Amino acid sequence: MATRVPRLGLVVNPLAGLGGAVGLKGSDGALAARARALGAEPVAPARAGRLLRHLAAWAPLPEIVTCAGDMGERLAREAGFAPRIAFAPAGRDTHAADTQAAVRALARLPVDLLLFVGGDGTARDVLAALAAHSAAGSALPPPVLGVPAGVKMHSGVFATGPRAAGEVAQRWWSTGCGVEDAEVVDREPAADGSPSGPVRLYGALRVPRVRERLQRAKAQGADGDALLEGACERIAVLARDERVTLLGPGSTLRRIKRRLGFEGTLLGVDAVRGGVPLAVDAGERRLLELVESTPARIVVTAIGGQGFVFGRGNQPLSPRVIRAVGLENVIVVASATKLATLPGSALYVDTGDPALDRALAGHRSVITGAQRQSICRVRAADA
Amino acid sequence: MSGTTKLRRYHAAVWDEPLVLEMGAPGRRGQHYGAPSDGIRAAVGDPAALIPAAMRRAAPPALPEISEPDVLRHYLHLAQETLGMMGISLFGTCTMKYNPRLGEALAVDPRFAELHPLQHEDTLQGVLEIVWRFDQVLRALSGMDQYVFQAGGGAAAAYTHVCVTRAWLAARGELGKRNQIITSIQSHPCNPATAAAAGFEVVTLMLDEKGYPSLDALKAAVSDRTAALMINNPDDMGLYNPHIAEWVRIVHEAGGLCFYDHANFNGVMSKIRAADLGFDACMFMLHKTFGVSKGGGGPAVGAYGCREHLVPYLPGPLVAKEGERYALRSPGPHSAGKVREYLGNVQQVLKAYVWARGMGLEGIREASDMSVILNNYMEKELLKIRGVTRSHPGVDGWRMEMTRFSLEQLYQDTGVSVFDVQNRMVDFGIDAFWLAHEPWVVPHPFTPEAGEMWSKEDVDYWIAVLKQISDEAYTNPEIVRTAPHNQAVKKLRGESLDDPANWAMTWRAYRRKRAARAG
Ligand SMILES: Cc1ncc(COP(=O)(O)O)c(C=O)c1O
Repeated sequence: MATRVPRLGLVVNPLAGLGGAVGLKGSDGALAARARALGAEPVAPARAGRLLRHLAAWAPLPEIVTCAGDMGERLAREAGFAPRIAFAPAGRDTHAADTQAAVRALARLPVDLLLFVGGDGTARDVLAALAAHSAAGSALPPPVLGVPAGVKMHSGVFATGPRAAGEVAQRWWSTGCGVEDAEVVDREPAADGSPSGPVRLYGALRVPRVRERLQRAKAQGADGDALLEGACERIAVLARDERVTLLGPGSTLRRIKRRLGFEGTLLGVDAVRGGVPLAVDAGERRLLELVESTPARIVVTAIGGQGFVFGRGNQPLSPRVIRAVGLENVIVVASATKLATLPGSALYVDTGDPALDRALAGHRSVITGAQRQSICRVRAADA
Repeated sequence: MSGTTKLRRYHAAVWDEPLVLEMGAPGRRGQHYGAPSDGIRAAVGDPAALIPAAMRRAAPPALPEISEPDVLRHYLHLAQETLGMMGISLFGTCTMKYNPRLGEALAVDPRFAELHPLQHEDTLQGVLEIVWRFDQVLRALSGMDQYVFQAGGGAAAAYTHVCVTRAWLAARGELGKRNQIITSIQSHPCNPATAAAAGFEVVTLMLDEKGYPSLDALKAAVSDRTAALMINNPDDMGLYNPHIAEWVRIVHEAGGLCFYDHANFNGVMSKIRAADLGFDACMFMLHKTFGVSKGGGGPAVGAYGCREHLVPYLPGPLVAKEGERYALRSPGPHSAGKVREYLGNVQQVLKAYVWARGMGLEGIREASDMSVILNNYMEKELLKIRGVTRSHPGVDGWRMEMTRFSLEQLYQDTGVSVFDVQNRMVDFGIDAFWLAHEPWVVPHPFTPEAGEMWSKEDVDYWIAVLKQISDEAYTNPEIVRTAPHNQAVKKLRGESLDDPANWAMTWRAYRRKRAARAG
């Protein structure tokens, strides 16, 4: 691709992974202090060091732009770089606000690729910062790539490891293979910082379109993607008929929405009829109105790494909406690769209505291609 | 394992050999012959006239002009740059067997090699007898009623099955109505692929904790749209589904056909018969289980067999015995048509017949036992190696003739991937291992298959090499990540292979693409 050297932004969350070693479920907020008190060692510096050693072996050497101190500079120097510093945290202890400020500073420069070292919480900070960057009317934010160093890493934005991240970056730069959306998911923290809530989809970041990238895409080599396009077209054909089609959240569904010619929401539920959008990011009440007197169907996918079909991020598709549409009119669509990599290939439902969950449970067909479906076990999450 | 296995020093020959089309010089010839003498000319006429006018080229072909020794040297060099199937190859799912020289010799015997498929069958009695006899062997091993050998490989036999299924449905007026074929995520990709190619919708069953799909999943999949089940058992993780007869019953009750992909036959040879389990049809790979060459060694054969009720739909011709005579017969008006010309790669049928006669039923039974025992010995040793685990660790019990292992732990610990290890294997003069069919249900998979013909010393050597590479990964990972080092070809950059601009299947394409790049 380009003959100039790439400018890589690097943000290290020095506290990432701190909680994991001492059995905590995260390192967000108050958890970090507790982890320290328990004698935990952070894992992020070692991971970042490994990434930097990979980058230091590139020929020609990439340009590194990072943050002062433990957020990148020290490790970059250790790896032999003379990095440019775009941001300096105020205190010794860094916080989510520092990550966000650092990401904004790097995005403004701009950088060709933003590498961050952390977990799902860090990915959310990156997402928030880049959303603010876009909202401020700045140019397209840079693509990002996560180096897994956190306790929770359910998001699709992570490479499989620090060295893999280096390889993905190199591959992406040398082949010019473009970017694609990957989901950011996390569990809502409770007051003490421990994740207590359900897994939620927070948004999507643009990541290099390199086959080996995704942590979850362990079925490497399986070109699930081409098949998935067929599945999306199959749903798009249905969505052009006279029924009301409710399209749930997630990047799979957004492909279908784009196929129908509208942007739709990544995080919300949209409704179409005859291929035309009736409602975008609709709430439960609006959905109920739409399906009350018209035959309808619901199309959802398995969200996040855990295979939730209902009850995670698509709450507008409430028990009342699902019952009004009819259980037999629920269509699940997902890539074969995603299904193959779900633990036990199982899907979960957690609608908040145990009787409905039981009725949805059992073996269900999931559309995976134009002419393909898989039979997956659906489980009630609370059973 | 004794632990004293000594790793050999090995290095492949490196010749940096040009393409044959880049060699030679104008006017250079293999041999020069003088013009025929008058006597010879008087006896046979003009030699050029021996070639019928219609077959004579207007212009000579653009072949390189090279001397005979240069040609021989060129191909010798190329041969030296390959492992040539003479390393230890435990390439799982492919059942890498020695190809007995006897079979190879008979196949090139002019009495066989010079037969023409369009000869009158009266003059083909010998070859027809061999085909018929080998058909009987496979019938005995499977309980099926008729075999055809047309399919040029396993995938082609699977395709034969979907064609037979279509013809069967058409004859029953159900074509279009029964439009789904059920298979599992652990079936070879040729099963869903051929089903889709024939216009069926593919219904894939996922695995449950036991490592194979549950009966409930199958029950959820069958319906009045079910045309067939296509399944292998054991699968290529070495897990045998003990409920398979029940599966067949469920699919039959729904009105579909059952096809047994018997590519992984080695561990169950002479132990089970597809027809006894209720299957309507099955396939065997002569180039795997039956000792026939494959890959560069020769073409393949997917032997497709079925029960009586499907015989009318088979591709023809079929070989039948009529009294003391062997005859070619058409299966009749409902035949699915040909999947390949004539009798298929019939020289491979001859070799498989030689193998089967040499083994005998006792030998086949013993080979089956050995392949399972050797795999389980190997599994025990490989699981002692740091970074190696096996699929479905929660499933107790023996694996069959293969085990699906994973290097995920090694990768997490060292950053050395299964591809790196695969590349490093060949530095020790043994063939790279097989990973897994896609999609991978186990990360960083690999799947060795020892079969019955590799000695314990060979298998120990293979294990010792993997142990060595694991040690290297933990102490000096760079050496693994940059492998191979002792091969004719160094590590390739995979991504450029994905780009059609970088590869060519013909000399003409090579020149065109090279010119385009230079320009
Ligand atoms: C179970 C199974 N079925 C089918 C095939 C396809 O056979 P072939 O490569 O001869 O087309 C294979 C090949 O590995 C296989 O393992």
